Amino acid sequence: MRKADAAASVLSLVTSHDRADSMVGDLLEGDGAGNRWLFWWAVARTALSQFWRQVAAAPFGMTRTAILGMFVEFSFMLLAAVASAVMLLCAESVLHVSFHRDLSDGPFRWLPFLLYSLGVPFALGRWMFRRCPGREAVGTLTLGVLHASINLCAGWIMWQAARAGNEAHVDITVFVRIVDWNGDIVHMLAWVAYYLTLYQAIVLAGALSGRAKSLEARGL
Amino acid sequence: MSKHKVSPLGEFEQVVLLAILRLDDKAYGVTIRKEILECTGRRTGPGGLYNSLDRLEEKGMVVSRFGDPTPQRGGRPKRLFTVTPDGLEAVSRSQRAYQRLMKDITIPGVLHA
Repeated sequence: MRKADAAASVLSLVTSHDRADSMVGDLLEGDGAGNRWLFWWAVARTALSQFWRQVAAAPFGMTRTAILGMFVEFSFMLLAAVASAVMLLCAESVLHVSFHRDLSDGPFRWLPFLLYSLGVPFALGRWMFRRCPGREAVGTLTLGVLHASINLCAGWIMWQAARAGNEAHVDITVFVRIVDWNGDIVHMLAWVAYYLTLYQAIVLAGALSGRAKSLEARGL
Repeated sequence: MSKHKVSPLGEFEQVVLLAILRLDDKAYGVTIRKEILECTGRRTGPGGLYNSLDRLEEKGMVVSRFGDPTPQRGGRPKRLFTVTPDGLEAVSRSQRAYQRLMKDITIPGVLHA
């Protein structure tokens, strides 16, 4: 029943766990009985339908959650920065004293980047689960769209400024670049693509992990 | 019947409520879809049905409870629906409105009250 569990996990991102479970039961008994493709087709249609209903039912509520999510994400980034600083300092000491090597030679230089690009969105997913259980997918997409819109607007302004011959560049760096807006249109589009794809996947993985932990704690 | 104002029903919501009433205490996703197909010939997607059921529950026209898990459903429970007095009032009001509209007109193949 691995497919049923996977389907219940997908549906639990757009409805409560109990309802997702009963929906999967219905799909196993009805549409998807004996046919894997029909089953997954029905799961996808049900998930999309529930997703759209949540968007239509509370667009402002979800925008509020997304804005709050941005602040939470920023505080996670600060925490990640502190953690990176401590870990890099330890790594630097060990590498320098024991191996007479610089930190820039080793894999540790990727640590802050990994923390920011994987750890922070994952932790944000856990927060999203606690904040709006059963509506994580909508919350995550709204947050991604918000990020993408901000990047698109800022990138477009910088691009226009660069075209007019002005120097325009915003750069916020805490070990790695958190914000980097310049006149490069490809760079901006890459960030937009990241927020609408990979970022979504990592945040949703965090939300699913939060749900799994919560169910485990309840003995379900 | 409750005295407070009951919000009007959409056409599909009426169909869903009537199907639940026909099924009595055996109304859950699969049986409701089957009943709608048998009575109206209308093939309903699972997503559309769950949306309508959730909306009706939010309006207080149906209530749901979880049944016991069965092996046929991979050990997952049924979500069983029951029409509330508000739901009953809303559906009877809609049907009365249809009857008033049908009065004094003749449509071939339709039985008139």
